[in-house]
Amino acid sequence: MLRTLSVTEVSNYVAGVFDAEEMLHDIPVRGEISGFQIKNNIAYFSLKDSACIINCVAFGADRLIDIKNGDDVLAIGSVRYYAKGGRLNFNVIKLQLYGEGEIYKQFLILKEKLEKEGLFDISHKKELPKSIKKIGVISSSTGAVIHDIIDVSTRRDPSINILLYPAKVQGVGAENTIISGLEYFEATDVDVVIIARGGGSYEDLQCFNAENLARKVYECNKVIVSAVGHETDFTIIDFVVDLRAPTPSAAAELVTKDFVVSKQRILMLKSNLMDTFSSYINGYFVKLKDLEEDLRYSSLDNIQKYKSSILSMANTLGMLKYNAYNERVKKIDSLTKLLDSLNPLKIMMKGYSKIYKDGQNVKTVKELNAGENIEVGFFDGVAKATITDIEV
Amino acid sequence: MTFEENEKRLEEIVKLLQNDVSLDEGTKLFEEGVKIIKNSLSDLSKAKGKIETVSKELDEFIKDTEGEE
Repeated sequence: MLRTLSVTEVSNYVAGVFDAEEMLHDIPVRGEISGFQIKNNIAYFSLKDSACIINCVAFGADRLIDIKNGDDVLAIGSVRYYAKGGRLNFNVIKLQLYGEGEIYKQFLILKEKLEKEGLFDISHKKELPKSIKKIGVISSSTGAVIHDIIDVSTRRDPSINILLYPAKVQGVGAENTIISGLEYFEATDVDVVIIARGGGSYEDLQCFNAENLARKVYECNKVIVSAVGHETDFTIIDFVVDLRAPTPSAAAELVTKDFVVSKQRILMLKSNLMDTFSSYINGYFVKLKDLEEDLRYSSLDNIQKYKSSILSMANTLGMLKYNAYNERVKKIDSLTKLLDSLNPLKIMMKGYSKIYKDGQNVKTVKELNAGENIEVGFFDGVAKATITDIEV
Repeated sequence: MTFEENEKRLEEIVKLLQNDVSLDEGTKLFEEGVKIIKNSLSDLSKAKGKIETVSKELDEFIKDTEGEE
């Protein structure tokens, strides 16, 4: 007769059997999620296939927010017997959508390989041209992406030309249509090429991880900007292109100039030029005024004095030939006449006068207003006056 | 000239005018500046750019082979 055992003894024994069975530890199991629920940060669910089902628990359920019933998953963990609950559990330590891990692994391998080959080297990246007049876009011809690109580009720069190469941006062979697009644009005069696609699942963006596309992007003689998926999505070509934009709209912004800003800049430079030129011209006016002053004061008196001193010198010394000094005298005479005719004082002596307002010479009646005080300069003095009326 | 080149030249002209240049030279520089401004502004208000699709047939072909978006 066997010894009677307690429940605990049996349970602990069973638990021990599973603990000792290495074959059931750290094993990958593929199945479909069902009955998924979270309590106290522990996820409870079942994994099933067409014939069987196994209970699962996963601690740290906050890592599993993306998991839902029906998902085809790969669970890694160990089969344990939960003695207190009398249940056989699969204790899951890692859970991922089936296939995703494999694709991601391949992505990392390719990324490392291309990086080692230098395809991501910053030194190989081309700068955006200073002036972009024509943009080539490789994208789906329908949907929001091309619409956004056209919208943003033309709003910023109405003169921009956009050439769309319609391409498949997901599914089998999509990368080849993108490569064809790059080859097409290489033979055109576009200044930059944008490869764009809207957000999508990881699988949707797979074509942008294709090795042949990455190599084509690297070899392409055009500057290439990528705008694939959302800001958080990184594909292989994002590392190879000359510039990565977080979104298609951002790509359009990167390659176009904002004409409103450009216009403001030109208008600012215009007023700069006008101001500088007017003070530059003013400088010359000041110089002219100085000359005019000089002319006014080096009047007849000085010339006469100069003339008589030369004459007396000539007479006194008697050494200069008459013709020689006669010629000088004539020259001085004509200079004297010229100066005389230019002398503003003389003009004023004829009855002309000058008007000053606030010390500035007034040249036109438009500078004056009724009620303003002015000064009238005569050749022999100044009269102060007030404007009573203006007629133009 | 590109927009940037125009901008640079304008800045240069302003600088030259601030220095000692002859009246003749200064006037020429000013005229050049005015011309650049005129050209730049007319460039900015020029006719709309073109938006084209490389090939309609190609587009149709691609749309036929996928159901994306």
